[in-house]
Amino acid sequence: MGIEFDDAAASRLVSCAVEVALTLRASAGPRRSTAEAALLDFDGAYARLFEAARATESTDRVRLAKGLEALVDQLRITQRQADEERQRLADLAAWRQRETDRELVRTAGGVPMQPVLDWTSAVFDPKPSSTPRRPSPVSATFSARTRQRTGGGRSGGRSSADPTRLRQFSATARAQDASTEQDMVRVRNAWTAFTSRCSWVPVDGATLPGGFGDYLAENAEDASWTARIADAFRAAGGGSLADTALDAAAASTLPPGLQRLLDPSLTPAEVAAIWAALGFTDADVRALPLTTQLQFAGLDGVPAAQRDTASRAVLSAAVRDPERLSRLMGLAYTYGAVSLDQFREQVIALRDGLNRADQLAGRLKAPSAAVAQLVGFGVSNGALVAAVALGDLDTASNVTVNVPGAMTTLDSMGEKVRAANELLFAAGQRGSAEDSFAVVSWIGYRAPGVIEVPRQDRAHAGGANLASFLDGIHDSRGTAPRSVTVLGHSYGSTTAAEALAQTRHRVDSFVTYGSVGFTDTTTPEHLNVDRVYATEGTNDHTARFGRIGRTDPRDLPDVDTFSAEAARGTKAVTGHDMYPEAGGVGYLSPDATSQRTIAKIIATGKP
Amino acid sequence: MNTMQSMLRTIATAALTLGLLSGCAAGGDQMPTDAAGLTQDDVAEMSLHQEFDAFGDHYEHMQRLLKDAQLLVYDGEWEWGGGDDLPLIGGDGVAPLPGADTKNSYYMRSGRLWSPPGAAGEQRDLQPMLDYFTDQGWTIEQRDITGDHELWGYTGDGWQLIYTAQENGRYTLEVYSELFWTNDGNALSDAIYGRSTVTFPDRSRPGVYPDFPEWDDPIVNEPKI
Repeated sequence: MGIEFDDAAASRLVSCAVEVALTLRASAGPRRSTAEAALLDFDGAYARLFEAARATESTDRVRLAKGLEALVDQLRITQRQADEERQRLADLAAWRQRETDRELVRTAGGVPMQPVLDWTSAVFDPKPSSTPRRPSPVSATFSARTRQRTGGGRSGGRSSADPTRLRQFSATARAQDASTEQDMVRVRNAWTAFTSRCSWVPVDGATLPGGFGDYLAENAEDASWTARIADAFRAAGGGSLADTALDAAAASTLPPGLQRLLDPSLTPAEVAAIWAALGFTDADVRALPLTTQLQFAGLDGVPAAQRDTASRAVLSAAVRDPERLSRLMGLAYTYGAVSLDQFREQVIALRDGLNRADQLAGRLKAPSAAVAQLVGFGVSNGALVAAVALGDLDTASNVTVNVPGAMTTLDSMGEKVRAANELLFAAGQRGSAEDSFAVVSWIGYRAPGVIEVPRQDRAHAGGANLASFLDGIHDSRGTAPRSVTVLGHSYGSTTAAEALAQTRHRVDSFVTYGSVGFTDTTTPEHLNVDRVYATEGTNDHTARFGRIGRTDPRDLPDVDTFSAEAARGTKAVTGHDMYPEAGGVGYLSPDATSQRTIAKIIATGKP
Repeated sequence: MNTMQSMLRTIATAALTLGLLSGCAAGGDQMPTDAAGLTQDDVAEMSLHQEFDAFGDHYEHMQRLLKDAQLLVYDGEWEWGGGDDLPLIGGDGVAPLPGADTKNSYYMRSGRLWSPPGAAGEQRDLQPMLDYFTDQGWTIEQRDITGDHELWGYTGDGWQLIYTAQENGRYTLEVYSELFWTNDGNALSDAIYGRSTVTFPDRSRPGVYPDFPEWDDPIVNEPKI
């Protein structure tokens, strides 16, 4: 009877462990040099996290190699012990055979010879030990340590790095780890073979094969983490990034510091305060993951420049992969939401409108800033919503927000933007030399369909959105705008009235054109606004039908009316449109009497 | 500023316009004509390159209209109302153009401002410009609007000028075109914007304005998305 110990299996494990330990030790040099290269130009808390992760990896790699070497030492001992035990068993078996032979002689020689035979066998052929040799237990232990890769979203510092070097580190580390993973598989296979074929040897601890896997998983996460940091720096276009932005970009879940911003109970002022404390730059916003950018795009209280960065990133992703973004926005699971085809069309229309806005904004004159901003892109009640500003909403001294009416979708953003451009030009001609302007085409609510116009629910929901947006403009800025004007066309005026009954910051002028009316709770005395103006053309035969159950603002006291009819040099509106797509004169057509008067109200506060 | 190229382009466009107009006349076509005297069918025959060059001619013409009117009242530096080298939203214009919509037509406009010393928007301040408009034989409109005085002059060949004496002391001169047909207003805008390298001045003397780009200029501005 032998022992359960396969020398070949033990030898394979020994040679495998020796080789892998050697390889692990030999990889120290290349690993260190690529890490040191990555650390060039890598500064800040994230450089320290990277350095700490590198040190942990290095220590763990040495510990793992030592674990393998210790296993080899133990295996060699057990091999020797197995040899000895086999020898003992063989000796005992041989002795027993001889003893059997001697027993035959004793039987043949009779009783008188027995003491002599016993004595000679005891002296010249003693019995080998019959106690089995117990092998030393084998222990293969190693556990990888977890590595810290986030500042927790609260550090407040900034880091900078060369994304190319980080990418190189990530690629080199991944290649090394792929090779090491093959080594791990060999070790695990050899270990499994050893334990199944050498059951004679007791195993005290066997954490090494699992720990080896954990070590490689940590390495893989390091490589991915470094790549995500590199992507974040690349997306930001170089320079430094807030550690909090890197926390969000590098982690798979949003760090607590940023999660606070997404509490739906926050007011725009609270959002603005938290945002200001984060100290995010445009580059930081570019570095955020898409899901976070989507959340920030719709966050009132975030400065327009950074909201623009987040919104453009989301729009860009929606153009590239509409199906994914539609799902990400939850539209696939929302009853009554835009279909995927509508999503595609509206995304392209918004992109084209925004590109048009970029072109036109480049022609704005100082002191207005020559920029266009996408100040929000997301979903409201199943509709795609967005707002495009011509001029800088963060700094303009004179801000106008134009709210469209029923049936409006992002499909018409191009027309809205171009109409806004003419309004801005006309206002600029009438303002003072110091005035800088921004005009927002706000399609930030689900506008009602024709049969929904008599109802107030779309205005309620849209009004809440608009109130938050208007307050967000104030709260996100360092200095308040000198003048804020809200324009409401058709149902947009009803929506804007709902908003102005809720805003915390006072609006200077509210202009309705072709209004479908105010409810009893949104008459001027309930609105947080200094002046209310209204106009409607005699050729507008639509507005009055929409006013069922509501009051024409022109009939209210405290509302100043102005003409939308023809005057010398300017024209009467020919219908209900803000800007007719197929000809005719709309309220904001550049040669309409109403447009020139509205421009003057924007510029001077009076018609 | 590329005077020779501009002149050659003007001649080429004029020849094209003349040819197209004679074609229309021969056929007795009554289709509505735009500010350049072209029908929508005429423009349908034009390539984007030809539309681009025609726009450049309109741009030069608009600058000349501005310059001549500016010089009548002030030859110093005027503030700019903004860059003026892109086609603007169509569909409606100074004069009606049946069939025009926001995509198949565009208009142009430019504006300058100056602040005469001590001026406060007096109606008499319009007189030099009124005389000039009259001398040109243009149709004239005048109106007063909450303290400001506006003077409108229609050139009769597709353009309108507005001179306003504002009570805030800032006097504005604006020029608007009637509608021009286009095959694709967005494509035309992209073609101009893509080649544009100019920074529009905040102020300039009459007749000083950036060159319009050439078709062969490289595309330097791509859409951001």
